Amino acid sequence: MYASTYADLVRFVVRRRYPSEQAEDVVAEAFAVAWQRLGDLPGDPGEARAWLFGITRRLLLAKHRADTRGQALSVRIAAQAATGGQTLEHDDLVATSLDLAAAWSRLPATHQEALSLAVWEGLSAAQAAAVLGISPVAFRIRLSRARRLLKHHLGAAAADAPHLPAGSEKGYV
Amino acid sequence: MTIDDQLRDHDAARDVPEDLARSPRARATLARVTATEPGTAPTKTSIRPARRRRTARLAFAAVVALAAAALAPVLGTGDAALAEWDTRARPATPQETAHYARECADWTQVPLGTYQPKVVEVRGAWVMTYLASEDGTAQCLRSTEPSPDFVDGENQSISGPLPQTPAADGLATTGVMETSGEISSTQFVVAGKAGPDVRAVTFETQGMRVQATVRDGHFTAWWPRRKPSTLLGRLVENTGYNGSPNPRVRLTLTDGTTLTRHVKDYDMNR
Repeated sequence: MYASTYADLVRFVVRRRYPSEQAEDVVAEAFAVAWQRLGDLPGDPGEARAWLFGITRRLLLAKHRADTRGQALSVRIAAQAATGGQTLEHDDLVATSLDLAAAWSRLPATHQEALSLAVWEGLSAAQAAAVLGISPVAFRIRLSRARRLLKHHLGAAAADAPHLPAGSEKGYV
Repeated sequence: MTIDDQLRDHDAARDVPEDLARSPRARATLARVTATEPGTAPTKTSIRPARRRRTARLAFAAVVALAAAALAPVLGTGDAALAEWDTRARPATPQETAHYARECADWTQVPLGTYQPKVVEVRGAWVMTYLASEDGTAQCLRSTEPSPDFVDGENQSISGPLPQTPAADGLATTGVMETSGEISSTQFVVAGKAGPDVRAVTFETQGMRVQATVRDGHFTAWWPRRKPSTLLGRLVENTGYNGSPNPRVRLTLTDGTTLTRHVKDYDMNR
């Protein structure tokens, strides 16, 4: 379990605005907590992974403020897209990345978290709901709103952006 | 391309390597976390505990081990580990010594240089590394064979204070430690200082005679736990104290004479 979730937990923390060095410290603390609560570890690997995310999230919230009830962690997004380990530099895609980053930054933290748990952490609705301490139905609603709001912000960003020529017309020869 | 696809391409954590759990830091974290019995320590655990605190946790784990020993006739088998283990160690080569000393310093987060390799010994597929500084020690026991959960081999590491200087014909140790946690079999580990008149050290335990490695005033030995056939056998075998087993230890001195006592007589924490 440790070997299969360690990197996932570090990624979870890095996405929530921690440098990787500090992220490994947080993950170490999360595993120490999990070890002390080993009797609560779910038998299903997917649920166990979500359980570890939940512990890590509560640690991060506790580092932010004493009262963690009802709070959410903002999630960061990469400034540029990457495919197969290479950053794409095509102007269209750079523009899209900028729009996406701008739209993402306008999302409330609760919506960023919902999208992150579904897309980057790859959790099911039930697992993500367990991480956030809400019902699966509430999570689905939150995720749906988050997607809709992100699309709305993306549309607004595209409308505000200067009109760029299509890629085929840029003169790449 | 859906909105989710676009987000996947913009993962801020995409540079975190998939095999990060194999890094020395991750393995050291695992060893540190599992140095205690699960569910026994305070929930709040510091990420890089001070050496004194780790020692305290080891002592606490030892007390828990005693309680478990009194309750359970069988706590695991050492058969597989025994098959990969030798009662007599071979010294590591200089290259092995350098490699395992560096690795052990990484795992226990002690500065190599200040901590020097005093003993690095090989028993079958297992390597014991004993580092010491002017005031502290670090020990690492690692298998060189990959296992399903540990592709680089199982390992455990501990650190603690340096034992005091022993009598010329004696030993000084912090007792016999018991490995626990993720490692697949249970081992007993003992190390410390040997007086200048001590030429050889042999532990008598579980029907075995374990020859320690003695080098430059330090000694180390380890052995796998054997599965006792009966509760009585286990109680007779484990006549320990403070959670530590208390095997007989025979010292051979430079003048050829031998002294036989129990480890407890040389334990600075008894």
